Amino acid sequence: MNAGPLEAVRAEWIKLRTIRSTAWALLAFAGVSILFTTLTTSGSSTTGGSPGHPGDNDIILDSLSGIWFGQIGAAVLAVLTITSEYSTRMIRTTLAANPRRRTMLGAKTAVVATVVLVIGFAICVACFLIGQAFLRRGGFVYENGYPAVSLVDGEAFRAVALGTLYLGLMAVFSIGVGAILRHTAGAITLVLAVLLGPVIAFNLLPERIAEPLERFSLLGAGLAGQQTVDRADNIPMGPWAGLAVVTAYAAVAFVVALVAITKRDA
Amino acid sequence: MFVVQATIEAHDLSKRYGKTVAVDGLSFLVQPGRVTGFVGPNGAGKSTTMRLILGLDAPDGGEVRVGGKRYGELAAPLSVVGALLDATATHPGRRGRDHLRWLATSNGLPRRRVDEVLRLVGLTDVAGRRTGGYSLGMAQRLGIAAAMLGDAPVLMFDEPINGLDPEGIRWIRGFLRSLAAEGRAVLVSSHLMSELEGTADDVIVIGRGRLIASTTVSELLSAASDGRVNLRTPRAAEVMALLARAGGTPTSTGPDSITVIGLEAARIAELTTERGLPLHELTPQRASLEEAYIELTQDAVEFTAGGERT
Repeated sequence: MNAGPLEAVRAEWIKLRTIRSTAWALLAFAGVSILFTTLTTSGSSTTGGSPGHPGDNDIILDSLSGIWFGQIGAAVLAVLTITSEYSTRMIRTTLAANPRRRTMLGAKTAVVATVVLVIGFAICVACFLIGQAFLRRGGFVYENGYPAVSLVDGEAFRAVALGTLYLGLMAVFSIGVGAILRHTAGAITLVLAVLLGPVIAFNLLPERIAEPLERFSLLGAGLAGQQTVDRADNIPMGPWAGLAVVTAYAAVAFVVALVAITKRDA
Repeated sequence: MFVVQATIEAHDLSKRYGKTVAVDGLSFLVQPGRVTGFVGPNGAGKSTTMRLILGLDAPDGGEVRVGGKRYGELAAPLSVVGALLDATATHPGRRGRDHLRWLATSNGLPRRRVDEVLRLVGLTDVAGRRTGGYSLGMAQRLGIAAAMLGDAPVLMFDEPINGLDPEGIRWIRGFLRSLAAEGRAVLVSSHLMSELEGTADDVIVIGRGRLIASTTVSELLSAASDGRVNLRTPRAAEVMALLARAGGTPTSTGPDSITVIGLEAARIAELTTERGLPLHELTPQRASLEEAYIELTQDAVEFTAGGERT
């Protein structure tokens, strides 16, 4: 008998599986992602290119667009896994069963992040395939400058992989915020504000403020990982720099959460 | 019988929340093989102390050890301390059995323990229901089942009688006694001393975070009873004179009733029998546990009737 990291991971996995909200949140995550990819790509038309010349529509980015909406489901799931323990006061049972709080929070984070990564990868692949199918039907074909893209092509695969990683790291960030605030509504509000605030602000602020804001926003940095065409309205950063920024968000939230959960009374 | 020393030892434990002193220099020892009542008015610091024992809150001063170790050092805490703090603190959407499953898994306990403790508390039939639909009594039983998962030598129950029906109360009293009989240390909190009458061997009484008494129930009772004996006799005057000569202090409490201090009931019976004086009643007065407790805590209740802090 031992309450070690492996036992903590197993226990958190049972917890995650045995409440209904997990399934609902994952369903929302997948459903909304696919719905918005469908909406974006089914209404798109070839604007940039003339016959025989490549257009500059980013068909990879466009087909993955649904995850920016669907991610809310993953964020809510991640927040709830920790804040619901505080709202039900079950956290005391959890921490009495495993007084090594960093191990517990690490296990919880690992379990949720893994689930979001696995489901997120499936969602990214589905969005890519569905998006490509709709775009081809909408005229994004070789003759109009859009050669067919396959999932295993370098840029497409990178976009899907980075999109998946973004989702996993965003979930880690959300758990961190949940563990710091310990309050469901507060944590969800803060996560949404971090995700959507810069998007709203971008349209209202002068460019010298808006540009770095976009670059260092969670969403902007995540989006940079999926840009495959050089366009004027691109986020001005490379995919790997974007990944670094997203990782920093997750790391800071997680580390602060680890310190907070150790220092505070349960 | 147990590998781990079955004790809870608190030394000079203190805890403040802001300006409120919840626990103030508390020291006590909970011993194996005994049910220890942990009693005090609401707000006396009982739940805070239990949170300190479980390492949920960090003390501002002093320390508490369970089985000789600090809680955080325990490799598999559930197999050392079983605790019921707050029975309703489960996720309402999770089934009772699943709640016990994740708990057992977190300490590497065998899965059969889940079914064993469900049977132990008589909850097998509703184990498949979500805990949000449990009555308070069912929630208490689930909490007790959770505390029993690790078959721990030290057990701690915060107000376990709350919410139980009379049948449940009788059950838990017998259950607590049987746990102590197995050699476990059992700490049971209550704000009503009467709930513990006939159950607890020892009592730790606290008020406003401070220790008021740490004693055995029998000592507490004899300290509170001043050895009064009530008797009724048709020949009151003669009996009073007799008892006064024998060294007692009789007081007339009615035409044929007398209260005596300073003589035991047996001695009174001998004396009156020798003289052929008839007795219709002879009753030694024992204080109830509740009376003893009220006497103890009179000065320590959080607020006096005037609402001012004593």
